Amino acid sequence: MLSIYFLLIAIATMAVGGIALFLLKNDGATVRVRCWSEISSWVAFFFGVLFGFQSFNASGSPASSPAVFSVGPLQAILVPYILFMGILVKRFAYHYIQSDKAYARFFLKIKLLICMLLTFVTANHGILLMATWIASGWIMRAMIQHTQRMEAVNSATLAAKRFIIGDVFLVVGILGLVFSTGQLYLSEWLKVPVTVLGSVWLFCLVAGAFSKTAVIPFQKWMAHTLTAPTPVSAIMHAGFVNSGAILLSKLAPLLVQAEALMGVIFVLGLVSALYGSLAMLVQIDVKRYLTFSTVGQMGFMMMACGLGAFHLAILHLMVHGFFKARLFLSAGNIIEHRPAIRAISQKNTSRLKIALVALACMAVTLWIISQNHRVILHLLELPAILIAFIGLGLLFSATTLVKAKGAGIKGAVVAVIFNLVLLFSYSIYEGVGQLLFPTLNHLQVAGHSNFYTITALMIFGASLIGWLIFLKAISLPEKLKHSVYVAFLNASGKGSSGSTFSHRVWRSQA
Amino acid sequence: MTTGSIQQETQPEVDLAQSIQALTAPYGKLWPLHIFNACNPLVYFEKLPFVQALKTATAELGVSTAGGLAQFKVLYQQQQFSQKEIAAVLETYSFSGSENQIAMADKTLSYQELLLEEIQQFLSGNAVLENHPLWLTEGGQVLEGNLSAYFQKQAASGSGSASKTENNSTEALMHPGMLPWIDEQMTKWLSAYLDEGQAVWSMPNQHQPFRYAWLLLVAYDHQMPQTTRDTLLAIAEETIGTTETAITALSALFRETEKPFQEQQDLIQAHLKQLPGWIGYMKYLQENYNATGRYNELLQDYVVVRLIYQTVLEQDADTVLGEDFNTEQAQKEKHVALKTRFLSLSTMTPVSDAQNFIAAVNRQFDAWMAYFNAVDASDMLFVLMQALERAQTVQLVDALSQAFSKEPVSQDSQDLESQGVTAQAVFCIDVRSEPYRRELERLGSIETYGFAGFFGLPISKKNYEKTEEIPLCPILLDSQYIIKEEPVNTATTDWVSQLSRQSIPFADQWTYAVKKIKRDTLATFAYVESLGWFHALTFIKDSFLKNRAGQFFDYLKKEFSPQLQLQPTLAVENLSETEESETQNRFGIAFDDQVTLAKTILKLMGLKQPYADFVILCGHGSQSRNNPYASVLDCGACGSNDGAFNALVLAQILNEGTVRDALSQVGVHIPEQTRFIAALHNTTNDAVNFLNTSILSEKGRQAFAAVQEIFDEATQRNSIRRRVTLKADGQVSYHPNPSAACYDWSQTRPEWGLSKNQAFVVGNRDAFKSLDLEGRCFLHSYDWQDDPDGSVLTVVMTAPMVVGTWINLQYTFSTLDPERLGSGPKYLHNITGLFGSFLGNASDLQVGLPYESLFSNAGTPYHLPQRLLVYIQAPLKRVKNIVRAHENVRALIENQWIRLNVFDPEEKALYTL
Ligand SMILES: [Zn+2]
Repeated sequence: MLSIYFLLIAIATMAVGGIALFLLKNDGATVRVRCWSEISSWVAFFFGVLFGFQSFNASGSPASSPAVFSVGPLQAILVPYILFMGILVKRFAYHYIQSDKAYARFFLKIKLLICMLLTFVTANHGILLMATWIASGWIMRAMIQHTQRMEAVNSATLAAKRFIIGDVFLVVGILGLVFSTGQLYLSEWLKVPVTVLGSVWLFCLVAGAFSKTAVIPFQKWMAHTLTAPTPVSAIMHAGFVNSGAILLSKLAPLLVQAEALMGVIFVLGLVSALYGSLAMLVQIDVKRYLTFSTVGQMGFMMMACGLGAFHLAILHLMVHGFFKARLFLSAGNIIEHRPAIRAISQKNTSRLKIALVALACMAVTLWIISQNHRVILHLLELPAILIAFIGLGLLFSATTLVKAKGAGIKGAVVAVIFNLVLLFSYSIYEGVGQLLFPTLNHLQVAGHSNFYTITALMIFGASLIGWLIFLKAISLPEKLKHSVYVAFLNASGKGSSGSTFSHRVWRSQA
Repeated sequence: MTTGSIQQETQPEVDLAQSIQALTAPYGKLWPLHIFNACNPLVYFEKLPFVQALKTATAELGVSTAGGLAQFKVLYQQQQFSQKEIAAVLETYSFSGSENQIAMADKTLSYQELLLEEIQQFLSGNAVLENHPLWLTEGGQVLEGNLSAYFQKQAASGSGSASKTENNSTEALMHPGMLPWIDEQMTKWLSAYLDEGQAVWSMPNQHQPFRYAWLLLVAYDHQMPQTTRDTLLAIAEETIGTTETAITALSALFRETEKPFQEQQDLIQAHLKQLPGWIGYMKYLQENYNATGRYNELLQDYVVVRLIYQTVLEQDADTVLGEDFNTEQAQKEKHVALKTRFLSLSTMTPVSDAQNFIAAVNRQFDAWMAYFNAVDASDMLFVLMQALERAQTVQLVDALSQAFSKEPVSQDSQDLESQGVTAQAVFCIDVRSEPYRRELERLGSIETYGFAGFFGLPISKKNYEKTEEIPLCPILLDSQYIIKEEPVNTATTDWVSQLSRQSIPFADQWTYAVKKIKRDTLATFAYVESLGWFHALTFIKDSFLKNRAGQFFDYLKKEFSPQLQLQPTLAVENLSETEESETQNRFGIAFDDQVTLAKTILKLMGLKQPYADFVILCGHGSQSRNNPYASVLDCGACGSNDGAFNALVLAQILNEGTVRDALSQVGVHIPEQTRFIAALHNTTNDAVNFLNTSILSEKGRQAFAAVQEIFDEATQRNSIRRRVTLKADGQVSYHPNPSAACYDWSQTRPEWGLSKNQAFVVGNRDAFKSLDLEGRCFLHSYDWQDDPDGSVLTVVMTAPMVVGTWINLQYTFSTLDPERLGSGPKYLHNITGLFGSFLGNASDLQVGLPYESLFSNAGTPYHLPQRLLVYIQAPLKRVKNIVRAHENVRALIENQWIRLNVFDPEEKALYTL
């Protein structure tokens, strides 16, 4: 198996590069550190890409005897992806954390985390899965408290507590599967039909996955990790939190058999999606706003898993990874863009007019598309809930743009163009998902049950009401509005353990 | 109720209002990030001597001297200063106490000797341990006992009296765990209330005074248990709900809790101390940004809300806080600190061995305590700072004095043309102008001047169709005119102007549409899935093609994006009713004002006459990306904006024929052919852009091409010089190519800004042209012979010098305490509400400069913390008169916030004031 060698070389290069950094005497920001880090990253990436080419067409592990690593399209895409994301974030960090006292060690941690993620993605052996899962949590903890500031250590501890809960669930789940099937390998577990007891083990694994993905009910740890340096947040939101969805995708053939469990994943995902994307609206600092945006996106990704659309979930985590890492790293832009953000928020147009123009824009978009419906025909095969989300996306973006650009020709044109681009890109996105991960598509099994269709209708209805509230066509009772606002403002929980305040008392008296 | 009783009722309220005013006074103002102006963070203490101010700030504002001392230790190890300077400084150092010595058995020890010894011990870095063997001896035990007794006595007297400087007063007033809890709540509410548009769903009732907006929401705050919330609401209703003003609410609250006046004061002060950054920002809002009156009572509201929280917590502390706080921590630390000081002094024992020394100390315990009270870390810091200053500037002062004492080459007889001068260029006094000017002068034929970068124009700018108005003058001044930016040719209302007739430039429309969608609740999912990959592309672009892609996109924007040609409009406008009422009819500059301004400014600039064909007014600005602190790198004289607009306005005034006619009637003659050219010096890549060359005729343009070439050459040379000097060996500290830093989104240090500034030189540039001042000096041109009545010098000393001082002190204090007076490392910043920055999750608003702007990668201070040396070439008497007449300047000098050196050109002698 050539591909396995490539993989091992990639992981080893990463690890050796990291350890070389550790052994450099001077921990400061030197060109030497950068060189070592850069060379090892690129070599690893090179082998990662070779691995990708070699293993894209391989299907699971060889039939005869299970291997320690499994290869397939999922691994073939994700391995180079993780390595590349690492390169991007590190390239940013070379300058950005130059004043850090433990500069070399920072890159060591990133490299180790990448090693763990790579091994986790490709692992087929139960123990290896467990070990890399737990290790990546511990490395993340070390990264959050990288500065060794008191508040950073506190928030790292808080996150670690959540990780430990997840670790326990995961270990129980894996051990359960190991003992109930008598097999150490994941590929073997997939061959056994799911029993009632089996679904308990699966439940444990799902709970483990949720803890790292920061989906409800585990969402709180993430809002406390802003004490970490910006590049850590980037790698956390682009790499680390995705391991949950990766785990579920690896277990996909089993999960689709446990219908109730899929329902749980779906519902929690949906709730997180709505919760995150609403809580994000009231956040006042840039990084917290991005954090809740991630909670929403992770929820959406989990929802896709719950529908059986694992292929879309994986594609989502990749695209979102680029998106969110980029936004975190460029969080400082916000002051540059201040005049524009303020200008947008100060526009005033009649609400009814906005609503009508936005609806008209939707109609025009759909009419244009219907002229050439091949483009979106395959979208109609998606579950109703995803279609609902696309439709709502079109409506809300049209509204926002019309609101920002004025309810005239200009606003309408911008909105229609945007909607067309959106629909077209979405259709490409869906197609790419099908193409890359055909084996992960379990939509037919799970996604079309009545339960989901009803949920879709409910969401659609609720969102339309939300849309009207957004346009202030309906006004909620003051009391309700205020209490929801405060609840979202408090969404990140009490922060005094992870903020500088308690530190300050001590200092002002010293 | 009779009138008498009303007065009795209101008297405490007047007192309260005044005391809040007085108690908030020490906190420095904090500007929002987009115009982050430099100000002395200890500006209130300028009326105290420097070292006293340090001591007071340590006690009252929580400033730490330990960090500052550590910086000096590093600088000492780097040999930036030596023992020689320390000894020299100590010789003349005066102590605040009345006695200056301690009589020991066989010798008297002077405070100088003692302090010197402490400094030596500190610099040599001998770690002194708490469990030093000396403490185990009998004498050590006695000393230990004495110390404990001393602290007990102090604590007893401290809580009884009204002593404000007593640090443990907080514990006497309240459960110390309350403060961080309240801090967190206040930060949450304040950032929501003051948000300028970051949140899509902004705080309800944001337009109301803070206390009302808070009261309407706090009822739903589940971070407090139900019972606590009920208590809080009851109290808040009784105070805020039933009163008209914040002060009456406060006094109602105090009536309820029955606290004596002094305790009220102490309480308020204890609360204010907690979040100095927020206080500074609220002060800014209240004083500078209060057009609608929304912030009238902001600070008072803040105090009221804090105290309400406290009153509630007093009843319910354990259920809400539930954490143990070590109240004895502070006391213990002081104890240890004193022991350490005793120990470090035991090494200098004149007695044969340490035990005897301790015994002697015990006999003289009170005298020693007097010494420790009179001389502390602030003194040590100040001595070291002066030593550093000496070492750094002694050569500079000598060189300048030598240069000024040379006989001036009499150039008055020759005019500029015969000297081959083709252009006069006026630069900002900024330290970054100095090296550029030097390169320019070396290339010959261009004469340079230093003048405040706002070119003397007290204006604000109102961007085309943008609502905000941005002051473009130093914070010392109020802007008197608002200048609008309007299209050059209003006739071109074609598609170009249609497209660009909005607040967002055409090229950025897509970006902003996307920005808006991203922040949308449900659109965001569809957006990420369909267009998220777009971010991957820009991510890759910014990671691998920083410089080239940046330049390419700039080029595209410039060439292909429809853009309106904008220019400042000076004409006074007829305003609509509403606009008038808000801005007091200040749009444009009336013709008479233009003439007066022109006359004054030309006089202050002191250009040699007759003027050259081209007079270049060169403002400066910095270019960086992804940098919330970008405005720090811009021109301080322009209120932390770039100087392009001011240069354009002044050029427009001075190029106007009618203005020139009017000027010649009052005796200012501008030659017919002279053209004033506005320019902008980009301090990141050293390029100089000329902004209004379109006014030149064809012939003028040809002549100007030669000038432009010289500037290009100077740009080349200066950027090579910077490349060499700024690339520390082996460190990833600086771009090998300064222009790349303009586009690098990952660069936390696009340039060093004004780091390392140390002196402010006022004098005739001709005299010291040849000196290399290493980009560490503010240069203000001044010809003492042209200013017999001292009016020009008065302006220089009261405006640019003060601004320079504040910039210097901001850099210095940010270096000394990067956590409390600086803003910490950039990689932890979390920008809040579009105006300020948190460190991590939530914190006080960060004040001062980011760590990266002041420290090299190795963690050693790059900016050398020293006070500004002001060097003026002018008759001593003239300077003295000015100092005498202006109280704020006198305070700066007498209280040692700056060091003033005057070179008297008549006597050819140097005086230190
Ligand atoms: Zn300037």
